[in-house]
Amino acid sequence: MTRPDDERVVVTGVGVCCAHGDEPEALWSAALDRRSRTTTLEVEGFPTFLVSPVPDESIEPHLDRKQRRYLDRVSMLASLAAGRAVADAGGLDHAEPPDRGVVVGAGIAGIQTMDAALAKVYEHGAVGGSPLAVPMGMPNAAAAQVALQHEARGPCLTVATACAGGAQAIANGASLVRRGEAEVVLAGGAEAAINKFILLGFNKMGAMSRRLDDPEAASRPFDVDRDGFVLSEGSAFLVLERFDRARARGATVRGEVLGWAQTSDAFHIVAPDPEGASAAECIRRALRDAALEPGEVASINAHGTSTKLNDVAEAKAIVANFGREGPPVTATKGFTGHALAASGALEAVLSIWSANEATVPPTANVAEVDPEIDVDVVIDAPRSVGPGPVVSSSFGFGGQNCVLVLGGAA
Amino acid sequence: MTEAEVFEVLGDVANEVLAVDPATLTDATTLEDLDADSLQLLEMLSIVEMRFPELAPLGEDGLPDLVTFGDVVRFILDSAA
Repeated sequence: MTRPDDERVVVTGVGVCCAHGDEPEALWSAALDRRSRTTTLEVEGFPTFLVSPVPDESIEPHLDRKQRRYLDRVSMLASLAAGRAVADAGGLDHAEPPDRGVVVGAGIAGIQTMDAALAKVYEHGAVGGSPLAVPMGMPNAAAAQVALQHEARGPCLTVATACAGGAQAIANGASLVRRGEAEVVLAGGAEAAINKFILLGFNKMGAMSRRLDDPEAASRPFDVDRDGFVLSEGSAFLVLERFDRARARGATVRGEVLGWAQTSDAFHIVAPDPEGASAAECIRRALRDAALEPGEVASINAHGTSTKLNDVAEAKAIVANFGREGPPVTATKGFTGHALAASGALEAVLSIWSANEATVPPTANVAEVDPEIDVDVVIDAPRSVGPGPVVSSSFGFGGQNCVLVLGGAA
Repeated sequence: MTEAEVFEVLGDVANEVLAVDPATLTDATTLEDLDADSLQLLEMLSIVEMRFPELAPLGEDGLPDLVTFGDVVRFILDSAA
């Protein structure tokens, strides 16, 4: 049963800033082609790391001098993606400033500012302190900068739920719109954590791929030989508003946030529950929120990090809801790498394109699906599917789970 | 440190922080003219401290009302005194 028009939350603007370009179409095309941008990063005295960065030429030339000086890289990526989403929506003038909200997912947040500020203090002592360290490095800086740029005087929230942050920002942004707390919400995620300290930490946890001889093939969700994730960075934003209002102003609707749910494993600070119980519950609740039966789902964009533990637990959560003959599953981190709190937002964009094109992009780099993973993983080539919504899952350190159900423009 | 020396140093710092041409600065130029916000003033003072650690900490007990470029120069001179 479809919700009444004044409870439906639609997407009227989409913006991205990522390793694969500054247009959603470029991201989608890279998904279909399984085009990885993973490369190696050498830092003296450190192990070699695998990363998928946003090219500098995609960032600095698009910012003014003040933004280049006073925004942490994560706020730069957020500003670019959010600005593009607003432009795509034809501006936000239809909502008064107090009716404009911002919700941003943050994982590691302003680490590059904090790292540089700490280094200066360690080198120079107290005189090396910077008055910019806190305003640039604080976790809510990206959301606050986006609010400043678009005169958004309504709710401005930062959802610090690690790798689930981008999805939870969209879920909570959609909640604000459905409840009428904001007329329009800019919701998304941003991450710029390619930093030696963070890379070293993930590496010491054994979470990162060490496939240094073949970087582009390193991220391989669900593959039997997967050995960890590849750290990427980026940002994606959606403009969310109520369907009836979008229609009344003649906005182009790109897609719809049909439903969402959030749960927590309460199991271990970083290891997923091996049975995926809370993740399964999250999928179940998201389908219920969208008033959908499992059989109505066209495909699943899995969290699929390419780590040993996540992918098996996630497959169990999928089977618990859809059975072994469930919808086709893709994991786009195979070509994007893992942009932490930006990943759920980037995957929401890919899911909307998937729903509109009735096509599931293939999971990159899968030679042989792990026999422990009993779901229909799309590999090798895009697969056409019937019309229907896409379930997009995001799970984060801390046991954070968020599932979005996304529909196309129809 | 003379007033002229501080003026010159602060001019360099203003160039770095605000991208203003130091040649255009006068004693009466206001921070508002330079489009400098409160955080940028603090940033300029912290750069001055890095160059002249003997002046640190500048403004730890709060800043007086600094309106013009000349006000900032004299505040730094007073701190050095």
